[in-house]
Amino acid sequence: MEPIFPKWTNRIPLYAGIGVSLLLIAIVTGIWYYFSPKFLAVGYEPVQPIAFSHQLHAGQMGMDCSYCHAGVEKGSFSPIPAADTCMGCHNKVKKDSPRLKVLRDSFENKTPIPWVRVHSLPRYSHFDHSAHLTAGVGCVSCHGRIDKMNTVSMVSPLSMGWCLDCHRNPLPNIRPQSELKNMIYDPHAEGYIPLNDPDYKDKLIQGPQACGACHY
Amino acid sequence: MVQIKCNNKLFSSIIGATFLSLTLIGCRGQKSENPPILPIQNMVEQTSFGPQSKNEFYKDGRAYRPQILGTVEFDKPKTDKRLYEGKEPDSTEHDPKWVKKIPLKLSEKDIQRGQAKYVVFCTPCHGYAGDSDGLVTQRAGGVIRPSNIHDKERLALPVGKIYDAIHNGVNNWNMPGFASQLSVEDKWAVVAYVRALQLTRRATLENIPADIKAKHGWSNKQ
Repeated sequence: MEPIFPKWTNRIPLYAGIGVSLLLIAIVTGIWYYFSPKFLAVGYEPVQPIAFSHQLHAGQMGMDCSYCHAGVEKGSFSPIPAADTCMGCHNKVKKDSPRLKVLRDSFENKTPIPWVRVHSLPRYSHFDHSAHLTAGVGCVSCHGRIDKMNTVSMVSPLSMGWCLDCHRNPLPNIRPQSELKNMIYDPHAEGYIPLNDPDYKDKLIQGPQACGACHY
Repeated sequence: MVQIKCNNKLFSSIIGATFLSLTLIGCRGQKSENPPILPIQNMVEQTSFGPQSKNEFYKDGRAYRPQILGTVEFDKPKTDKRLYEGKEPDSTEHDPKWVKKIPLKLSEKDIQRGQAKYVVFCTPCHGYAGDSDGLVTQRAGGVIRPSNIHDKERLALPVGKIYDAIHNGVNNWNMPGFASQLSVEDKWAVVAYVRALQLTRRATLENIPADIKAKHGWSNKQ
């Protein structure tokens, strides 16, 4: 008697078993790899209205972060400097440079420079710069080597999992209060132990993990 | 055999398509001008305005509104000319009489804070020791000429004038003012640190308190 199904159909379960499991693995891996903020957010490098180089200002000339971002130790956010701050030097240095035209126009017309924000959190979560600095987390821990960037890009995913990694185990990222804005200082290489630092001795070195700590 | 060959073709094309799409999508950390994608959009954007955010309602687009004319500052009125302007109360606009003594009580901690603020705001031009050899000065190559704080004229400056320089700037913004970056206490702390820096090259044994001299066995006769 002629069989209803040809012989090769005997292998369908085998092929289907391998194929479906491969497909599942591919889907899971794909979502794990591509749907993470490590892929979707890291590396964001928008074109800014002025080609301001942190590599030149903070790197080569060694200007402190808070020369421009003044008030970051006291406020929740790190302010973008006013055009006044830039013009403090650039009313003499490179004062006719065409690359600074946007700055001069902004200064004269009292209009804001349309900087593009690089690091921004969803509005349902709150981040306080001053609290992190007081606790001993330096700029470089989240923003990376800004002093090497010509154009600022995101190096951290700013995801909730990434926040919690440090909130659960903050000790490796704590540095002395004097080295907060130091881009080169490595607390691990220096053998720094926060628990022996008089600044942190009586404090609980533990980030809050309650929902309400950030989502309020 | 024909069937196997056909499968090979299919297999290789699937592999090829996968690799092609992977290279087109890119890897983690690749630089991109496109803003981060947030797959879940619930309440990511809200109608309230954050710090330094945009508000298209106003012509200049700022959600922060500049102070309108006649705005009165909250808190106590700043009438103490000595503290807030570094001038004696009887000085006038054209004839400023600078205070000679810092009108605040400063501890060693304040001077350390002054040092921290000096390092941030002054060293780029004036240099760590005040010799006007900061990295910005060196790079600008003569376009800016910050004063050397160890000059004879700078040594003779009353503290009120130094305070005024930090607060309002000098010579038509040749040195910018730091009124918005530094609080009143911070500015006086910087003044104290500048004085301390000047002392590092002018101090004599007479400046050292007697008990410290006795402790180290220093005497005036050396």
